[in-house]
Amino acid sequence: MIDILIVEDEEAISNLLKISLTQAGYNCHTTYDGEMALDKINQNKYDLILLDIMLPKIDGFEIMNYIKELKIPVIFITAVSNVDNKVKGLKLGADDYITKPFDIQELLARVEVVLRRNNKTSNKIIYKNIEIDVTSHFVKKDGEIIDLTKKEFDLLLLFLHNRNVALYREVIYERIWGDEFFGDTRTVDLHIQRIRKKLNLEKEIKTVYKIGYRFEALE
Amino acid sequence: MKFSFKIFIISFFLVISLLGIGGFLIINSNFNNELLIKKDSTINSNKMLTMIYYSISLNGMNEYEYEFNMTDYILKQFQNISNNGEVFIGERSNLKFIDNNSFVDELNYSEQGSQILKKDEQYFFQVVTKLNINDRAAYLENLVNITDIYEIRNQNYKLYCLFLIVGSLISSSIIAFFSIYITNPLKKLQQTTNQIAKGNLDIRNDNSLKTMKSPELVALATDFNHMTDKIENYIKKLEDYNERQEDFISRFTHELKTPLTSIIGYADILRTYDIEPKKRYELANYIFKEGKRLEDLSFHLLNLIILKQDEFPFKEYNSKQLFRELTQTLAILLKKYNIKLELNIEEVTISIEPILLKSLLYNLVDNACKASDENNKIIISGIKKDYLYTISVQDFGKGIDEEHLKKVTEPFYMVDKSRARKQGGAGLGLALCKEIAALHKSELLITSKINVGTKISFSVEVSHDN
Repeated sequence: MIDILIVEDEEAISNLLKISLTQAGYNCHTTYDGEMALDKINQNKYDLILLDIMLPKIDGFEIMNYIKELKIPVIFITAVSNVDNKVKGLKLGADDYITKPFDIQELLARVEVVLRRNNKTSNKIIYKNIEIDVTSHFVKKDGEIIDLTKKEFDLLLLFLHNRNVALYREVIYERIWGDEFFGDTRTVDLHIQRIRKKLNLEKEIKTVYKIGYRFEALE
Repeated sequence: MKFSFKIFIISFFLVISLLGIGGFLIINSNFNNELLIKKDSTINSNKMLTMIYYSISLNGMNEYEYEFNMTDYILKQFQNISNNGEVFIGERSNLKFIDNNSFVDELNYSEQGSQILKKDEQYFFQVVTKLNINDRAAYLENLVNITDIYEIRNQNYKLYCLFLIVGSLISSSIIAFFSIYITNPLKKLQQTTNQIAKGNLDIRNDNSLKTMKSPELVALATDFNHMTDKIENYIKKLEDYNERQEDFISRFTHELKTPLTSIIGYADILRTYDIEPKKRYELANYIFKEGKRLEDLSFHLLNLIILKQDEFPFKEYNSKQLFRELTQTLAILLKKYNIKLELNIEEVTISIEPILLKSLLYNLVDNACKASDENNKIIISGIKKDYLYTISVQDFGKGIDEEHLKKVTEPFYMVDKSRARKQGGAGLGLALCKEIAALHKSELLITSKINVGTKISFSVEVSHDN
C-alpha cells in the first residue's frame, strides 16, 4: 500500500484530496499545518507528500527544504500560479506542481506518474490472468498480446483504477473521449462490449441500472 | 562632436582668420611703402638725370652718336654718385627687356614712363625718359632691382604664417583646456544621468560638483539631485503600491480558488461515483459551505468596490440613539460568545452615514468577540473633543502582534487563517471598516498588546448645531 501525506490547511480541500486518493487505492494521512507536518514526516515513512505552499506556522517552501534530504517525492499544491513560484518549488526539488483549482483526474494522473518515476509503483497492473503495461501500452491475456484501441485501453485502465465503484456513463464518456457528453451513450456501450469480449470480462464489468457500469473485482 | 573639441576648432579658426587678415594687411602695407619709396627715388633719379642731361647737353652742336656716347659717359658718372640702379642712355633697341617694354613706344619727347617687371624670378623697376637728341629719339633708362623688397615680403609672410599657426595652436589649446575644465562638471552630470537612466536611482551628483565655482552649475547639480530624490520617492511609492496590489491579487486568487477547487472537486466525485446517501450528504455539504463562502466573498468585494466609488448622504444623528440601535443588533452576537458590553457614551449630535457606521461598529465588535474568551467584556466609548467625536471599541482578548498589526486592514489579510476560516471570515472585515472610516474622513487607529487586548478607534465629525 502506498502512503501519501496530505499537508493542506483548508479542511475542504484536504478532505477532497483524501477521498479521491483513497478511492484510487492509496493510503492517506492528513495534517493541517507546517509544524505538525514536520512531526509526522519525522515519525512515519511516506511514499509521497502533497504540499500546500501557504501554510500556517511553517510554509511549504521551508518544509520542502527539510524534506529534500529525505528523498521523499513531493507535489506542490497551491493557488498561486505565477511562474516564479513554480520555478522556486521545482528548483527546491519538488517532483511536480499543481495549481488550484485542479481537476481530480489530473491530480491522480500526476500522482501516478510521480510514484512511477520514483519506482514506488510498478508500471504493470495485473488482474487475474490479465497483465497491463502502462508505459508501453500493451495488454496481455494469459501471456498473449491482445490488440486494444487507444480508447479501449483507456477504458480498461479507468475501470481498474476504480474497482467496485459505479461509474456514470456520462462521466466515462467525458473522461475517455474528452468531450462534453451530449446524451448518446451508444459509443460507451459499444466499447464496453468489445472489452468484455476481447478480455473475457463479462462477469467483472457489470451494467448498473440507470447509472452506468461497475467493475467488480472477483478475488 | 565633443563640446570642448568644438570650442577648440572654432577658436582655432577664429584666431587664424582674424590675426591672419590683420597680419597680412600690415605686411602688405609695409611692402607697398617700401616699393613706393624705391619707385619714387628711381623716378626722381631719372628726372634728375634728364635735367642734368639737358643742362649739359651739347644739343645740336655735335653728331648724334657722339652726343650719345658723351652723355652716357657723364650720366654714368652721376649715377655712380646717386647709386640708384643702373643707368643707360641709348636707342630704342638698346633698352633692357626690349620685348617687354611696349610702354616706351607710347612716350612723347621728354615724357617719362615706368613699369615693374619680373624676369627670371627677379623683380625690376624700369624708368625710361624719351630724349630728343638732334631730333632723333634717345632713351634714358633707370633700372633698379627690387627683388629684395619682394623677398622680404615673402619672408615676412612665411614667418608670420609660422607664428600664426603656432600661436593659434597654443591659444586654442589653452581655450580647449578651459572648455574641458568648464564642461567637466557637465560630463559628470551626464555620467550621473546615464547611471540613473540605467536604473541606478541611489546615485547622486557628488560634492565635487558643488565645489565648482560656477553658480549655475552648482544650481544645476543641486536641482538635479533634488529631481532624482523626487523620482526615487515616486518610484518607491509605485513599487510599494505594486507590491500591495500583487499581494492583494495573490490573496484574492487564493480566496477564490480554494472554494472553487472544493466545489468542482466534490461535485466531480458526486457525479462520477454512485455513493451511499450518508456520504453523499457529507460531500454535498462541502459544496454548499464553500459556495456560501464564495457568495460571502463576492458580497464583501462588491461592498468594497461600492464604498470606493459612491458618495453617501450624511445624516445628523444622536449618538445615544446610534448606540441604542447598535446594542439591539449586537445582542445575539454577544449572547453567542457570552460577552458583556460596557458603554461609555457622551451624548452629541454627529454627522454620519448611520447604516454603514453601524456595520463598521458591528464588524469591530464581532472581531472583538472572536478575540475574547467567554465572560470577557468589551468597552465601547464615544468621547467628544472639539469638533470630533472619537469612538473606540476595546477588548481584553488575545491581542494582535506587531508584525500583523500594520497589515490587518489590508484585504484578505488573516492573522490566523485556519481560525478565521472556522469563524467564517474571508479577511475582508477590517478592510471594509477602513473604507467606511475613510468615508467619514478618519483612519482606523489600532493599538494592541498580546494577551492584553486590542483597542480600535476612529472619529466622526460633530454636527454644527451643537
